[in-house]
Amino acid sequence: MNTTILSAVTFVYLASFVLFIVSEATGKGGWEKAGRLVALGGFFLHTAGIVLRWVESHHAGMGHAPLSNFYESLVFFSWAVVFLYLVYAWRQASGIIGAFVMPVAFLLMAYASFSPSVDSQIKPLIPALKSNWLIVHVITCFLGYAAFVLASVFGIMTLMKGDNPGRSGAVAGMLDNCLKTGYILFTLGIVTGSVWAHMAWGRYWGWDPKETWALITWLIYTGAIHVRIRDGAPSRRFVIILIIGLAGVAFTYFGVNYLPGLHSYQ
Amino acid sequence: MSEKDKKGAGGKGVRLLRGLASLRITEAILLWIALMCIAATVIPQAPYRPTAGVSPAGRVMMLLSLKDVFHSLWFLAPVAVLALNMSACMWVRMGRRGSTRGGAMPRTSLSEVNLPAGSDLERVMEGLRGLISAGRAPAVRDREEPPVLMGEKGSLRRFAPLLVHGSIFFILVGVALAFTGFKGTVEIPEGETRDVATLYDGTPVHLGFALRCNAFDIEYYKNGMPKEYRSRITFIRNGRSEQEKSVLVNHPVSFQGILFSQSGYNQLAEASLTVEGPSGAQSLLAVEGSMIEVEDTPFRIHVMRVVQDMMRMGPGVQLLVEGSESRQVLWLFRDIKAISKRYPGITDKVPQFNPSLIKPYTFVLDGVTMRNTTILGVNRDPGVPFVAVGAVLFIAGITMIFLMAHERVWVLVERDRGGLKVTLARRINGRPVPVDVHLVERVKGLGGRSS
Ligand code: HEM
Repeated sequence: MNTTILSAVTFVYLASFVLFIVSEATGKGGWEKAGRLVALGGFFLHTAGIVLRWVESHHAGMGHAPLSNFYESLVFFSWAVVFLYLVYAWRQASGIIGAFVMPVAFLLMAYASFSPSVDSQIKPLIPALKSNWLIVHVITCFLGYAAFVLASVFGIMTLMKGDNPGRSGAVAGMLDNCLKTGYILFTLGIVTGSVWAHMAWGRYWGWDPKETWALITWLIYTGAIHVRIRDGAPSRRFVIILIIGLAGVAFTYFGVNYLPGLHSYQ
Repeated sequence: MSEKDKKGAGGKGVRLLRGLASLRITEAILLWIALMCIAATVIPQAPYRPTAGVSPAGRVMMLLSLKDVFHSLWFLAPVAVLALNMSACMWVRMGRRGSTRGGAMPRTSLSEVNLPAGSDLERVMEGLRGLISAGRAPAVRDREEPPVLMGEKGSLRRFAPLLVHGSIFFILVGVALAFTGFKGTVEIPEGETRDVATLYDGTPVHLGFALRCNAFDIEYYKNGMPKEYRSRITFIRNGRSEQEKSVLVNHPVSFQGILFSQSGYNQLAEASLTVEGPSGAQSLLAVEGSMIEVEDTPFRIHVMRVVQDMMRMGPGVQLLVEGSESRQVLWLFRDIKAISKRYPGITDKVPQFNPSLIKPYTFVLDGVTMRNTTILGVNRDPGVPFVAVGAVLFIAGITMIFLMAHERVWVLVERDRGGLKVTLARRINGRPVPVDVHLVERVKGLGGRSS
């Protein structure tokens, strides 16, 4: 049941994306409000789907937080992107942000729900995954990823020749907030991940490809923070580093599965 | 050196320090380290190569090879430079001088309020003191004439960057200390005791105490998937059983500074044999791959295979029996009597199947039992506490930087055409910013003779 709700959410996000495109094209505020309300509705449905999946896993006698396989990580990643979008951009009544963010949420849900290579079955946890550290690790990592995605979106927007300067000021502020939130969350993600590795495999760091790529992504964003400090304002090269960081996030999440190592979801 | 030279030398020293503290180096080093990490995931790595007995030239080759990036100079050198760069940076930008920058009242983003003639200076000063102390540390007189008051909040935030970057050193110390420890595994069959672990590069290491595996059990889900692995271990030091602990996945146990984690398990086929000879019978336990000297017989037995079902004829073993001058392969089956009935004369057609082939001895396989062995991860890492403290300090530091703001508000009062001119200024984290509009409004309210 939860998978049907979650695949429905895909289309709600698609609808919200379309509304934002229309609002940008026509410039009328009404579309933009509709887009945001639909996104909010999709978000509640999304949350309900995740909670239901958690409840269903308990009924099936293998109760665990829905954060343990590829399907569940895609769903939570998408949830985190929309959650942070609502937290950061809700007051900012501008459709352009939604037009950038909603496709990310939509694509993640579409891939989770309709790609044949993603198994949405609820499965019992193998012993190594039965740990609270895992839950905190996955949540902080994906909230961190989501914040970095948003930071890149805001970064791209600061580069676009904005029609009203007021908006770019607010966007720069949101960019800083997202980057710092993302950095704290992602650092927590790496730390809780290594505590879990310490418990499960007896060593807090083993240069496993996933760990190494998480560190690479972290180094990129550390570099971005220091470039931001040196340049004083969101400069072109700062945004370029944010986009490289996004590539790091994508590779840490997806690409690494094609390298041998402990973490591969397959 | 005279004062001037020292200053000159100092000048060069300061220039060097300032150069070393440049953020340009930081950006380059972070990029270099990231590239090395990428190389390590793209180039196949062989991190655990035996290092004992490697010639100095060989060691240099190892330090330069990209086969083990994280122990090579390509990775360790930039980390060392980063540490240097960061200490210079902390000294120049975040030390006492760095953190007191933004100490003086700024001359930009000022707000002015003109209070009407006849406003009483002392009363206005009291009012201002109250206003800028609200939610801040009690205002202090920053200067006497003309009087300047300064209120401050969140002054701890100034030291957050020091905390953030200082914590990295804790982590680096912890990582360095890890090199003085070791990592490996130990495999213990149920009921047996081991005191030597095998490192990942194959070299054995004595633990200084022994572990007995009392039991290794696996719990299963209803659908047959493993749910839990548990090893009940007794730690024995100089012959005394000191502690009994259960090691589970995600619940490691540490003893004498060594961490034992549930890493895996094996199933060992174990054969119980009896060798009947002129001087009596002897029973032996044999595991695949083991070699047994059989007392008061000329024989040494190499156990080549131990199988629960050999050629669909039930439990069997393949032995190489080595005498003083003879070498003979024997295939022993637990149910040899039933097999001979089903295939009469088989021990003649296939002599190796005959338990009494090597006169005057008879080799009997009593049975094959499966024994669980537990594989424990063994990790001695004295650096762990440092890394843990470093990580906690780092997170505390970045949270402080993000959530806290160090705010200073100044108020300058001057007599101006009979009235009083109040100039307000504000800095957040050292940078001048416009004064809070509400504060300006309230200052306006201080003027006038009525109250
Ligand atoms: C791996 C090494 C490093 C890490 C992880 C790191 C991390 C950080 C973080 C998280 C911040 C806080 C930024 C913010 O949110 O405001 C920061 C600030 C800063 N870092 Fe680093 N840093 C590193 C190396 C360096 C080095 C080598 C330098 C010196 C060249 C440096 C100079 C600074 C400065 C000047 C600030 C601004 C401090 C302030 O807010 O006043 N950092 N760093």
